[in-house]
Amino acid sequence: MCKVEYDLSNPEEVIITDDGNGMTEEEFIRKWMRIASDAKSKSQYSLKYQRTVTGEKGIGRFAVRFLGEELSLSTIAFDNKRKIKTRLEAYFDWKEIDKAKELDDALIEYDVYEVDDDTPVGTTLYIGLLRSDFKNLDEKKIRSSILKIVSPLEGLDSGRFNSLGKRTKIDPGFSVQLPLDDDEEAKKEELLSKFILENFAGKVTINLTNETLIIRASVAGWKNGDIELVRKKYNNHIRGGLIADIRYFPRRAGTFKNKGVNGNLAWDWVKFNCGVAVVDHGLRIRPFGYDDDDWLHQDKDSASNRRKWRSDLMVEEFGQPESLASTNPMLYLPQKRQVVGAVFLESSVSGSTGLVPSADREGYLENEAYNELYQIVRTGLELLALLDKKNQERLLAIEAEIAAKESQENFKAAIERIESIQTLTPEDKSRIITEYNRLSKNLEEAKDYTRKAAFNLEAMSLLGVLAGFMTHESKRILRLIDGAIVSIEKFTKKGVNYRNELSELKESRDEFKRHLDYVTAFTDNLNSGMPEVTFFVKPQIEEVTEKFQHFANTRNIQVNIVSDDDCKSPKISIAIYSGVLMNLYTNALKAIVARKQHTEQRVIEIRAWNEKKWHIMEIVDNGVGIATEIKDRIWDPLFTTTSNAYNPLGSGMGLGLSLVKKLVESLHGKVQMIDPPSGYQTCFRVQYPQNK
Amino acid sequence: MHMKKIFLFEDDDSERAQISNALKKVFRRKATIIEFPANQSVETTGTLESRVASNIAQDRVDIGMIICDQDLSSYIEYQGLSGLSAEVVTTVAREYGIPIAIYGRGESDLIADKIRQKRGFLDRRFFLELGIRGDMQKFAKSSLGFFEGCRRISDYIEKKLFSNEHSECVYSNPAAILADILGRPEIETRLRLYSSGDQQYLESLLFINSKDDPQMASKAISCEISYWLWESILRFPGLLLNEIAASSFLNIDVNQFNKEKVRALFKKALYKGPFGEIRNYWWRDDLEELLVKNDCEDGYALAKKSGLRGLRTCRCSVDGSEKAGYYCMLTDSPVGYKNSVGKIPYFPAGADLSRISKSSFYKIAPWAGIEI
Repeated sequence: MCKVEYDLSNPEEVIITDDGNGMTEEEFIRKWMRIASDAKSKSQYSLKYQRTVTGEKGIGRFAVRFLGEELSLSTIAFDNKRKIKTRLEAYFDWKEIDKAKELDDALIEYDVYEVDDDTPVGTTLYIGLLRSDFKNLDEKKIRSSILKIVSPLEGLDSGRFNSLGKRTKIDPGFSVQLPLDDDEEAKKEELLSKFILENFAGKVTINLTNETLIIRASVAGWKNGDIELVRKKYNNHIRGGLIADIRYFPRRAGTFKNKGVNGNLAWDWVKFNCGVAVVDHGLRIRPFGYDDDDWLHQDKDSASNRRKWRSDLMVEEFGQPESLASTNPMLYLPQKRQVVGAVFLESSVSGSTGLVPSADREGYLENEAYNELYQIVRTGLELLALLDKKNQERLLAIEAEIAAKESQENFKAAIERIESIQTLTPEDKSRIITEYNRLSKNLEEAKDYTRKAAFNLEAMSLLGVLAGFMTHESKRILRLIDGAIVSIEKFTKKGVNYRNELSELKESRDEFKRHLDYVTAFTDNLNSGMPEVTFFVKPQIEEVTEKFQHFANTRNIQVNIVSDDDCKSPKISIAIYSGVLMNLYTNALKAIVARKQHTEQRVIEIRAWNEKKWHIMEIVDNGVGIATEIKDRIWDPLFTTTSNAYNPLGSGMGLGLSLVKKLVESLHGKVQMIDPPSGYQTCFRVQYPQNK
Repeated sequence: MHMKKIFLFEDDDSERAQISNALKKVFRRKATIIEFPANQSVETTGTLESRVASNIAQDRVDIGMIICDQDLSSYIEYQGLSGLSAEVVTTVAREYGIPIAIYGRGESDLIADKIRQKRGFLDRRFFLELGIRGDMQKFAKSSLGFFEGCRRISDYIEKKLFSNEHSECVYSNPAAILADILGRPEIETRLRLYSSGDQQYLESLLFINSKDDPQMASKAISCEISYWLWESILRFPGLLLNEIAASSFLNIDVNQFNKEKVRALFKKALYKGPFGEIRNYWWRDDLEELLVKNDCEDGYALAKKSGLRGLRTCRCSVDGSEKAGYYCMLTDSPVGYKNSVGKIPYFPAGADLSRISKSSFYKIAPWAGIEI
């Protein structure tokens, strides 16, 4: 174990303690104080756990002078020669040492004491008079940097590298204890790490021995767990081989949903630990998997949309993928921030073959072994891309199958219901049923239908041009009717009794004029760019209901308007507000007329009120109602439940509700059919945002 | 003085003959009626505006007015005139400072049309009602009313402009000129209130350059002031009141106010200025003066004091239990203060008796783009 202590509120000193074997006086002089000693070549393994000794030049320990001006060393060891336990204390004053012309001339004082037999062995370094650069380091950065050095990520499988080197005793490995760490936090962190690593979207484990390469993979949702995908003879130069464990976490909705962990916390963890690290002799090696590194070319390939495998092994095993974007798995290569993984290995301490650490301790020399390391790990990543793409396609197919089934059932139910609707002519029934029968057989066609219907809706807007022309023509007709009225009045005055006809004609003229008035105002509003204004809604509701007053009165339909006089709309085009209301109101009238037996009063109620964020309008009626089976279909363009021939208000073109939906949604509003209040059959609710 | 010419634009042959004859009867020796195109050969190149202009070019200085059908779509049979519209003719009329009156078969009573018309944005033309069954007599008389009204104004302005007396005033202060034409210099300030606001009347006067062509400038100014008087000052009750606004103001029932013996009481206040022949108007100041002089609270009291019996007061058209007093621009009826809305953005600032009944206003406001 290695313990690092520092007080960030007063960063004067850093203490690094380990519970290793410590150093006797002889070891201190012969090994520790000598640069590039031959000690490591003499003994490649540590005393207690027989760990492979790392480091090549023996200068690392002197690098502490860049952290602080003073260094004290205290080391307790069992001196085999003297058969006693000793404590050696040495003091390094770097300023004084710097004054010496030759390093040999530098004086480093130390003392050796005998200590009790039960004194624990180990070494402690005290770094004092910290340099300002070090003092100003960010606490989080220090912590994460230290943790990253030793963190092989608990949940990852390091296989045979778990107990390092010659296994004479059980090696507990390395751990770091930092200030402010407590057991509970550490446990939580461990649990979180374990949990997240188990909830991968894809996982690849690689085991390379001297001659054999085995790659196993697993994808979330696979029934058979992980599967061996590659086992082949693979001659290589990586002495001792390697173990790699890479987990894939693409940022998809629901990855950590309902799994007992805060999703944001989980993604933060992935972000912190992302990348494929290389753990050499139990310690993490720079720059592999660090923030500023892209050693596996993941980000580079993602940025350039590379469509070919880089790994020769992938080409050999699976062939180059098709270049078509929709099917090319390379385009789904896991990016660096989407993977958490590590490669466990042991580099060589001597010789030029095998993995050789570069002189600056940053990575390895680029030799055959390194290229093999790259190829193998890259294969793992590319395999993840391939498997994930296939898995996504499989899931989509399942989803499509379910959707198709649901859709079929939905269409089937709608067809049955349509057959029973009395207000449709056989021709209209046949048209809708044929259409739905066709669509129920093919989901793709159903999707296509929705697209085409949306296009039809756009095309229908050309009717606006016709409306403009008809408005002009209607004015001429209105004038002719006025002329006819004048003529009939003249005849009536002369004694011919046309009073009833005249009265009916005048009534019809006024009704015609009301509709024309509305259409003219509507087209004018459209022509003037549909200015958005605030208005009192009650007069507008009255305006719409008055247009059908004659219709409602003659059919004994009671129309209630429930809205305060001072209820104001949000800023909105009156053409849209009124048009939506008109559509839903006439639908309600049709629904009432369609209901054959009415024992109670026929009622339509229009309500409007304001809430903090919404202006709400509801249209409720006690008409024929809308069957559950066709609830999903009512928004379909060209769908209707009332034929022109059977309804005095006509069916229009079956565009009403889909148009209403489109318009309201374009204003960031909502329109939905909700459960009606008691005594009513249908309730449509429209919500307009108070502020868009 | 030589006779002015009236150009008639009517695309229907039979209608043209009828209208032309009716106009000829009424105008007699006051103006010559010329049916467009004056000669059958219309230029076939250039814009429609330039074709119309070249056809009337010879006479344009003498054209007293253009009377034009609002739908000229049947002109297709004349080579070179396909596509001609009332808008094209209006553009030519404006360019040459010729008053123009558009006619149709009955003024639309559609609310949307009313909003559009009453807003009066740069409409700047007269509208003549031909009548449902083509009441030619009334139509021709109204045409004459517009012609004579415009002529009175243009004669005055021409005289002012070419006499070098106060000529600058013509451009800089149209309110003073109109006050002078109306013979009431004291109303100049209040007339100015009719040129402010959203209506943008008189704006085009700013672009008339009198030095380049004083004669054309005179015609253009005359036109602008004529439209201003008709479309704004006479239309929106404030200074002058039409018969409904007057009966509402005087608190006498509208139908009873039409009776000769009632009107006789207020004869002194009758407007006799330009366009007064087309519709009756009363000077509000004069009506008030009459009431003060007779120490009467309103016209109803004055009528009673004068011995008229059986009169009714004028009630609000929205709520009969309320007194009227004001005029609803949308329903053309008397309206009370409580049940109406005033200071509508597109009303001239001086039209303080012009209002819109609340229920109508709240219905039309969003359609007219007016924020409440």
